[in-house]
Amino acid sequence: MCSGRLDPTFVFKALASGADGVMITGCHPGECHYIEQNYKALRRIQLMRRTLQGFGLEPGRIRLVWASAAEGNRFASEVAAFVEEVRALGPLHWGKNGNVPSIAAPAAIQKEEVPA
Amino acid sequence: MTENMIENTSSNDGQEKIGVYVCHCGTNIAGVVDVVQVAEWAAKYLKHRGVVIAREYKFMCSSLGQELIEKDIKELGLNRVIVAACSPHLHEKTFRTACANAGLNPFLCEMVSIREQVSWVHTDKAAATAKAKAMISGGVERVRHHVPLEPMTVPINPATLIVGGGIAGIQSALEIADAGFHVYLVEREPSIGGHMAQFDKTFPTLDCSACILTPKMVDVGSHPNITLLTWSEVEKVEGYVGSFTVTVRKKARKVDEELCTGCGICQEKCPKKVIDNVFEAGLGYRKAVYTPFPQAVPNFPVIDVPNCTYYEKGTCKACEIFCAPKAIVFDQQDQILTLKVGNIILATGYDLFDARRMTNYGYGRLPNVFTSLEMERLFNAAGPTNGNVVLRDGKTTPQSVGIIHCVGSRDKNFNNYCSVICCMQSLKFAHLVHERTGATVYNFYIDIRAAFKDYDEFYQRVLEEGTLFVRGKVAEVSDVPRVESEKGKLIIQVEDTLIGKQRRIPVDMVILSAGLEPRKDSKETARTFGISCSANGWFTEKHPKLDPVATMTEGIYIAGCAQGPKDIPASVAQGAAAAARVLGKIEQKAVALEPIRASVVEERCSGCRICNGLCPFNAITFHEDRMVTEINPALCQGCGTCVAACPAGAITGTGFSNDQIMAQIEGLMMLNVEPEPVAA
Repeated sequence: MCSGRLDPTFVFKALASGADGVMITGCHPGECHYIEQNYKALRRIQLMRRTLQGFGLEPGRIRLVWASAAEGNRFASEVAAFVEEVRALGPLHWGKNGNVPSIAAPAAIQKEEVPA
Repeated sequence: MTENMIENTSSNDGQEKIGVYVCHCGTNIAGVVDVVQVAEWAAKYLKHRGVVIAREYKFMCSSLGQELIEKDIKELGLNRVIVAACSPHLHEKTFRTACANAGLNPFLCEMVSIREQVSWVHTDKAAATAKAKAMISGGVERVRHHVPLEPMTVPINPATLIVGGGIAGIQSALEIADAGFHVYLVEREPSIGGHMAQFDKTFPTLDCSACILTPKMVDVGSHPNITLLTWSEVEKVEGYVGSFTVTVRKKARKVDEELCTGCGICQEKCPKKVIDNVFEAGLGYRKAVYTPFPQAVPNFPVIDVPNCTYYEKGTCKACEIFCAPKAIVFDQQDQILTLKVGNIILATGYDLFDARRMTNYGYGRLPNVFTSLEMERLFNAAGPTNGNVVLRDGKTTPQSVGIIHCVGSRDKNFNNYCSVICCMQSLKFAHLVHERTGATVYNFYIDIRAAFKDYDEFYQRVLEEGTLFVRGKVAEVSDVPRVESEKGKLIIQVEDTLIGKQRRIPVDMVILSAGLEPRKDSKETARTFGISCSANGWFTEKHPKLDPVATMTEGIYIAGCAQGPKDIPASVAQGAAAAARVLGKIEQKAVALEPIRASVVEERCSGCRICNGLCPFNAITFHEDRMVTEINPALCQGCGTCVAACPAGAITGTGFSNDQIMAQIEGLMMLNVEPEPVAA
């Protein structure tokens, strides 16, 4: 799916469903498979960050990463870094399940995520 | 598929009968993900979401695995299929075909990548298993919203565009043209031939390069099915497999190709000498009006405008005066051509590593340090020295020569990769220097890589001829002597790793076997044609082993060094392979396009025109009379930008509808399953 297909509601849907952060990835600027649609995504990200702030949330819960198919290592390190950042921000507890830990994440991580 | 049926399937909520198939992929997936547990979990916890059967199997892609799916579709009446296995790039087609064989619309099958996105990137087995479950849950929710689709078929234009007239492009062009289809061969230099035309001999057979290349060039020039466009460059590519529209700039030669006879009198009479940095690698001269070499195809010269006296001072016109057929046209302008083709082959070749970047080897500073391409010209009988191997002064024959391998290759400071050809090329130089001058020849190598047919035999032959081999990466080439015997020589400082000693070897001439690099503009080229390239700039093939000449963009193929360093036989093989792929496509006459397209529900369109400016493919038109927008399905590429932008939700994208994506997000977040105890 092209990052140009990114409807901002997808991101809020994910957060509302229990995600603590959302990473959006796309081709590097100028290398879009669909010519220039990643620039549209770039604009929408700005909009989403402002909306997030309006909700009283940290804009750092959304991250945009440009990565090409040749940059596996970079992609992996970006994911790892984002996980650490979101972990530092703490859980959002927006999901339907409330405080019930989702089984999508292993128990060990869940324990760490609970703020002291 | 009729509209009615689509509506029926999408509205029969609760009627979905979903089969989930989890693949072990040997140990590729099963080694990290507990696939048995995943399948059991899906059958139990996703039952209320329509999963009627969940199975695991060693290799779902095997014929037995496919039969399993087909049998369940027929016996259990499955109307949706989830295959949790590898990336859809590999086997989506396999499983879609299996579904179609059992009478299910292939687009009701969805793949979940638990190999590339789970088992290959995680080591924690419990976490990986949990992630696989979440992804399957997402897939199940998504597939509930799938609707049957019919692929769109478009006819294939039998003409082919080939970019690059080196040996790979020439081979492709001849294969396709001989099969009876039209080829447009675009080359940016004045003549085809590429790097191979510059070489003297080819390893390991020592065939004369020009003798085996020029007959093929002539064939290209005279072939009725080939339109040769030299001194031309591709500017724009639009469309998709089967019907590309390509814009080509045919640069002004300032010579009328209809009138020119190729007699060469203009080159003879032109008073302006210019250093030839392209064909003669800076060692020789050409005129301001020139053909790069005598066997050039086509044989029409080009006027080098920045260097021509007429364009500089407004006088001269020597070429025009002597041209009998009056073919010189000083005011000729660039022509813009529009070509319609069905397939494209990119064979744009390589650039030589710039040896100046390795300052410790002194190229450009020490006159008697030569690059491999310069040596090719020195050896060549048609070259600037008529084939005499001499030092930069143009007359002294070297008594001792050092050949340095891996210049700019296998070097963390420059390129990590092996340039493939340099070992064999260096051995060829060793043989030729020995044969032409009788000089003592040293080869400084890290490893000798003489793979492939007859290559190692050639290495043995060069060894027996008495060439000296020193294993070690050269530290420095210097002209500062320490002892009397080093005076006036180039001193090669190297650690001989076989005897474990530093050595200083004085020689008269140093040859740098420079590596191959992607074309400087390869990334721009990739962008123009909509294909991807590696971080270095080599074009990326669809599959490194099983699909080496196709790209991820359908209808665009790659051949030769543009894909990665390779020698002449490999380039020719790839050129022919790409041609075979294109011929296969042409013979299909029509191609099925993924029915992943956006469409407008006119009743909902408010005519706001927000989407109108977003489409880069000009697929959106606005009907002023009805005040609604329409999307042309043949032009739409399915990027989905307009779908995301429509404030009225009037645009839907098949295969990536809002319903599908929203449901998948819910599924991924496990909102559809009853919470399971964490300890499970």
